[in-house]
Amino acid sequence: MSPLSRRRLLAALAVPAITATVTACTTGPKPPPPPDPLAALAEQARKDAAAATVLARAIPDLATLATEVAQVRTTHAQVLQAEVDRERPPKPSASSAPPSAPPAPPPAGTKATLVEALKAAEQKAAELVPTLPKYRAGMVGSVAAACASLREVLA
Amino acid sequence: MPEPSSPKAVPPSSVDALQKALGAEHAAVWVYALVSAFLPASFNNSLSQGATTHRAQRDTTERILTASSATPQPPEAAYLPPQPVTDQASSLAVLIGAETDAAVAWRSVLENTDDPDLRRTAMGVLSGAAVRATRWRKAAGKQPAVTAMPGQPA
Repeated sequence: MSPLSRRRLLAALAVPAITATVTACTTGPKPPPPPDPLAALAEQARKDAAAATVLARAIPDLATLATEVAQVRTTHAQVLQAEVDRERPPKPSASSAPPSAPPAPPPAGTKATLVEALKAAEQKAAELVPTLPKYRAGMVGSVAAACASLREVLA
Repeated sequence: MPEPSSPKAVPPSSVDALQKALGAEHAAVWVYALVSAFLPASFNNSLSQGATTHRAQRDTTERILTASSATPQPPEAAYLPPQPVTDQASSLAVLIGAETDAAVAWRSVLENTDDPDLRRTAMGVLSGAAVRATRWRKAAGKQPAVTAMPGQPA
């Protein structure tokens, strides 16, 4: 056996050994699961509802429409959060800060900022739809469709 | 809707939901043709836009079904509106009904396929139906004009 081929042989043997080490490491401490993508949608829905509520108080002419936005987005927040909690029940004792921790009231936006927020929410939800389990795809699809409809009302 | 030239086969488990969606599209095409006689010219744009969209969706759905070795369900010989269509109010009501039915059928497609392309198609159609239903509710003076979860069966 020439020295060259022995080196090759050693190199070939080294690869499985490294792979084994890597495998051993990753089976150690369990990494935290990635955040539920629906949690971000729920958070966005809560923010939109809060912003629409402020807008409804600030601009009487918009009160009816903005209140409708607030009601729809509040329903979305509830539906989405219920699904997040169903899949991963929140630990009652843990320091999980309740998402409803009284947030600072959002700055009074405009109709345009609300429309932009709804557009962003629609896009985010629609982009998730192809990737979700079946039962979630319908739910998130309805949320996206409602955001599109709210923009139609504000138009 | 995807390019008409590229119909792709979908898994057999998605075929039933697609046939129902096709049924909703057939009904919507019929409804849009029916109401045009009862609505003033100011509705012409919205009507022709909706009619064109539903015909395109019907055709695309038929092509997807054919590509999936299924026989597309034909339209019914006649449809019975829930209430007689005689004027503007009853026309708007039957339009709202057709779009609501389409939204339900296409949301069901979302829940009956894992195919990402079909999911994207169904998402677009569901949004379109929800937006048109909103437009017709607005025209009819219905409050609220938006449903929180379009396509969710009542």
